[in-house]
Amino acid sequence: MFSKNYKKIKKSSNYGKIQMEDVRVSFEGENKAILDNFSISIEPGEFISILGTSGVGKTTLLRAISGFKRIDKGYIRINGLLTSSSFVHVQPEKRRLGFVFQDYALFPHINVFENIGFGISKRDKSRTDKINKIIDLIALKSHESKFPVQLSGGQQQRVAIGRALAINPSAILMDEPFSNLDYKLKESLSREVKKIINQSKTTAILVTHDEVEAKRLSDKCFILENGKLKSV
Amino acid sequence: MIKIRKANLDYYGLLTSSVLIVALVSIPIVYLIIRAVSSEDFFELLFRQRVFFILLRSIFLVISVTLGSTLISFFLAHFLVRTNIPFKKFLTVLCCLPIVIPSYVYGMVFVNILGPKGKFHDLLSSLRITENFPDFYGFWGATIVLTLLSYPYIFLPLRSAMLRMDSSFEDASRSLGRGRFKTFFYVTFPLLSPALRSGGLLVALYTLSDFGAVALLRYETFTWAIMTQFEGAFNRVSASVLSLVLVAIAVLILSSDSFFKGPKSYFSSSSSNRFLKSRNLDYKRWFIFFIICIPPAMGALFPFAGLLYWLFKGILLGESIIIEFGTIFNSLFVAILAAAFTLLISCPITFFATRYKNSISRLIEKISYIGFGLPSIVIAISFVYFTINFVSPIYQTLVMLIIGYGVLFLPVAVSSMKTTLLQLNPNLEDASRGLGLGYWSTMWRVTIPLIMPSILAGALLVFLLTLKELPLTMVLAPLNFDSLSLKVWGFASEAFFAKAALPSIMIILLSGPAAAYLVFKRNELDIRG
Repeated sequence: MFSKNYKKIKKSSNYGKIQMEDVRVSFEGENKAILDNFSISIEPGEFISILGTSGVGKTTLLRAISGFKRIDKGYIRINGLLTSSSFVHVQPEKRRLGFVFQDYALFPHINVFENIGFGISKRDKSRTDKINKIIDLIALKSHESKFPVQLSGGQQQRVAIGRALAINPSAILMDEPFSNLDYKLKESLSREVKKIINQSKTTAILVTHDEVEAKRLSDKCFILENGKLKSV
Repeated sequence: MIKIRKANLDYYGLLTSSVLIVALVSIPIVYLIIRAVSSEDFFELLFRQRVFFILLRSIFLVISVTLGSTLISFFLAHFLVRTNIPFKKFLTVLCCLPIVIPSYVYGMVFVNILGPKGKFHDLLSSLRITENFPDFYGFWGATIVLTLLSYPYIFLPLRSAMLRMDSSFEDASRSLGRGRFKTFFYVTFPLLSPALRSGGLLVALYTLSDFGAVALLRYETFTWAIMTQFEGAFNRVSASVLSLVLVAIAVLILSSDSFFKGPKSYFSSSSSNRFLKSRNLDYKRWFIFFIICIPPAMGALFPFAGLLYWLFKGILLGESIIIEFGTIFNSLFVAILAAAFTLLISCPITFFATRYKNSISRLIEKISYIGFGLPSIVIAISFVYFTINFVSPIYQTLVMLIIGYGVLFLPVAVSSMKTTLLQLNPNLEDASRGLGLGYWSTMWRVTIPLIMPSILAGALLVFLLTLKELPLTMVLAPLNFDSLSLKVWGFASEAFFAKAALPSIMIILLSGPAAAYLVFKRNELDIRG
């Protein structure tokens, strides 16, 4: 339903907007909540960062938004449409959100070109053009036939971002995407990522434990503590 | 200068011993091929309608058993890894039990219970519904028996691949718009395919080399035809031509490059590994629990129950069911000797292949795998031909039997040791050398103690396989030599099932603990290179 009406949704003013109201998330079979009464509203095209120490629930938050984790109560709306509540759960593949995993999760059995094009239908006549456009954007023109294992950490990270952007997502969610890189590479790549995301005008949520990185990249920074958000 | 000379001495010492062992492994096979090809009737014997039909039958059986085992393994591994099925550990143990059942034992039970005039047949005929009961002899019988016995060879690597698989690959696919089915088809299946492929190869080779089950179920494949030619007609040229075709099929199966390389590891080894989530089956879990019990019950409990039934029935009817201590001793004695000999010949090859990586060491290692790729009957017959013509004093002696086992199970010991040796931190050996110990002292005091668990696991696996091995024992054993497997075969082929039950149970009980240790403590069942 969500993806069928995508063209209409894309034209609406809510496109790229993410709202969470009084969300509670807990692990299965456990009473203790990871997120409780959690609310946030992210405007279209906004780039926000969520800071927090390990185990505070940053990844869980992204997984709840993307639909990998069900919520116990509250509401999550993406592009103004209800996607998660205690009784509604739109499957992750119907939400059209780009997810950049901490370990990138590049498919090891297919090359860079196919990794980027994974989310684009093979029946789409402009598939090759779309992939090439992304490859240009992430500056990996001569690496498209390489497999993930043949790429450096920075190149893998760019492929992961390119793959997430290739589906033309309403928002991009990044789970500590720079944590596996050294300081210099982290700095140069984060600038590139910011440029790429600004160019594509996509809403972005970055979770990280690095305050400098968060401030450098995003329009707004929040700290996640005891399941609640505080502005920095 | 001294250092260089010493290094060369280590190299040439290992090279010479490896070449000698590889010659022992390959010369009889090469001789068999040369003899078959140089025979005057070669083409006449090769291009016969009978050979063509045997070829078709063998291929059909290999395909059906591999497919059947794959389906069963996928079903079992999926529910045991990815759902909240109750008693997971118990079920996993249960699913591996068929490994300890020799195919000729299952074939015997199967024929006696499900075959024409078997117990089940009698029951149905008393209920007057016999006409609808299918004949389980032939293709279907062989497929069922071999599938139920060989599925653990796929189940074990598949299960461990599923356990190691990082869930972020599936999550990434779903976040990119692919649903559950497409994610399985485009991501999960390709990522599991190395495990499926290596397990499938093991099953295909197991099926191709099986003799006991196909002979008892009267489905003529190459192994049975070769044995008939060799024992019955004693037509050596015909047997060697058939062996040659069997070698060709085995080589075809093995030609897949991944076999020698081992499974490619696609799985993330990062510390952020998220393992696959367990699906809640709710009320359906007990239903699935009972379905999961069916393959191991049919593959292990059914034949074991059949053996116990015959044993007790035989005792109650006053049949003389005795097993001579000498037979048990012979089986254990040759199994221990075979394990020791195999270990001895595997050491130089393993060390040479792992310490000196060059084209010679790679070739030597590949040749050492001949034993696993070729059916045991072919190895046995090649040794008979070779020894009769060149070293007749050892023909039909224990020496030849032990050498035969050594050649057959060499890859088992090599691969078991090689895996650990490759994982060994080379700095440990360097530290020892830096502290003044020489190459051989370092090996004796550092390397061997560290890889000892793998050496023992390899020995245990060879012991287990020797205990069950039938065709090679039949062909190479000395006259008047009795072992448990020969006893079972002797009684079963004359339909003395009650008498065959006790040695069968002995084989299962003697091999059970070794198999349990290998499967659950060390996960060493995968015997590829």
